[in-house]
Amino acid sequence: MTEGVGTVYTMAPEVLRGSYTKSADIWSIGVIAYMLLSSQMPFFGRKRRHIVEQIMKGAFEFKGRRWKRLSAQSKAFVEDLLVVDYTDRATAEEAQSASWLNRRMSATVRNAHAHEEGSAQQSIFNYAGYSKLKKVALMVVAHKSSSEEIGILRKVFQQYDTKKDGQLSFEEFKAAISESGISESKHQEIFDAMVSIIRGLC
Amino acid sequence: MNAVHKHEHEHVHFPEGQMDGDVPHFHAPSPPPPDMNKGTPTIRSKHLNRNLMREQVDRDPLFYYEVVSVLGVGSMGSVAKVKKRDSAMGGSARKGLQEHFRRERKMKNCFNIPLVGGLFQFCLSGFAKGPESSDGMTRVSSATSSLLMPLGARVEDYNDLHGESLSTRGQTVYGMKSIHLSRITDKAFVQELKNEIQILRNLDHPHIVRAIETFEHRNQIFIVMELCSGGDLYSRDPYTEDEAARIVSSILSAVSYMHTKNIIHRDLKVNRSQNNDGVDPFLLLTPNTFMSRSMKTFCLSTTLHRPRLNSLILGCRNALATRT
Repeated sequence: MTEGVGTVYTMAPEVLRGSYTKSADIWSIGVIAYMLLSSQMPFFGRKRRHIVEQIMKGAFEFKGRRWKRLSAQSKAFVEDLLVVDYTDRATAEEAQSASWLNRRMSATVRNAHAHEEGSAQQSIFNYAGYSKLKKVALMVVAHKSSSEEIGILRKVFQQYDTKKDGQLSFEEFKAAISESGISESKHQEIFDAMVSIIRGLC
Repeated sequence: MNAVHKHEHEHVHFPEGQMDGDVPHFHAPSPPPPDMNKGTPTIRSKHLNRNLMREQVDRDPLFYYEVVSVLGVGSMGSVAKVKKRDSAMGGSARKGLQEHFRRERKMKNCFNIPLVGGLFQFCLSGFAKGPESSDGMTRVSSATSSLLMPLGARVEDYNDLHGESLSTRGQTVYGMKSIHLSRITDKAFVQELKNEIQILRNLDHPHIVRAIETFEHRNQIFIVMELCSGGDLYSRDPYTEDEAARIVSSILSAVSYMHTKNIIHRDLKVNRSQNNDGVDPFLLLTPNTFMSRSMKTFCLSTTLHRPRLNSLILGCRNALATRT
């Protein structure tokens, strides 16, 4: 490996050792979080060798003026992620549910308005009744829309997506529309209607 | 040491054959001119659970896109800002819409003359905004330079007289990456690159940069994707704690999405990240190959969501490594 110093600093210890799993990314996110918070690097040194040494030890600290002003939650978050032993490191799911990430984000920013949610829900119900051709066409339109154009839907989706894994399971979907006054048997029907196109059963 | 898990292979289907162009392409709403079609457009239902990235072989991307500006040149290729050519935009509906925009714009400068039953409009060309506005006043005052045109006249004629192009209105710009395969000596690497493109098309997440289409032409690979032009995460440093939390949670959501697809990024970084000019967030998975000499293939760039500011992308350098 002849890469410069710059490419090393976010690498997890196990990546440096050469065998790694998904949790290597979590380490990197920990480093990024540290850097965003404090504008400093958690592991640094004059030479690559020094940086690697520090990473292997997991030796970092919260020092400097900026850390004094930062919340304990943020430090706890970084500490959970920058764990040398990757089996003890937080998983992506655990990290996402960290209190630091979810604090202070007011519900009005995070959640869709009630009427937005209502209209999204209505669209879903309508969609279930459309013809296959229309479903496919709408699917293409959705795929081709920019993130800007479907920003409202994104909020609704995030609200539905209680596990925050970027995917809606039937359970999540059922929970989300349970208040809509639609019967249980309909739930599955609607969900299947949506999924059938995606799964290519059309 | 494989890019994706075995289970993933079942969905991914990226044997060499697919890149050789014998797979029917799914034609999105804006199909190329008919003479460019090799076969009948076919919908392959399994494509619908991907992000509808289109692959084209042996076609010149410059037939469809024009280069607005070159953003960077690397050892193995370059990145350019591109927009779709008008001629490559399909769909009668879209044409009608453009015409509508033009007419609407034109109408702002026009009023009906109560002569001959209102069959004529009086249009002041001088009201046009922009560089022309300096001499605009004179135009307004002199009726000779104003335009008298019958209702329903061809809008293009009007525009031609103005010499102003309205076609850029509402145009989306993309980033186009080109990679010269001839500059890559390693055959295995080329194959790997193609595999990674197949991975790209399987990812559809608001924080992952989306590939729109890919071209293979004259030993080059072109990848058209959402444009991220905002600089890296360093450029906005320092962040408040709230901003940091938002950025980190965007990255996390993208990374955990990739993890569910058994893709490991392996090389998340703060530098080499980019901002997106759009209002909404992305996380990008971009082949950044030519940027890194150590070339491990793709870069996953993470775009972060910053509502009022721009969204950011966090880039990486080599490797969307994905080798488990």
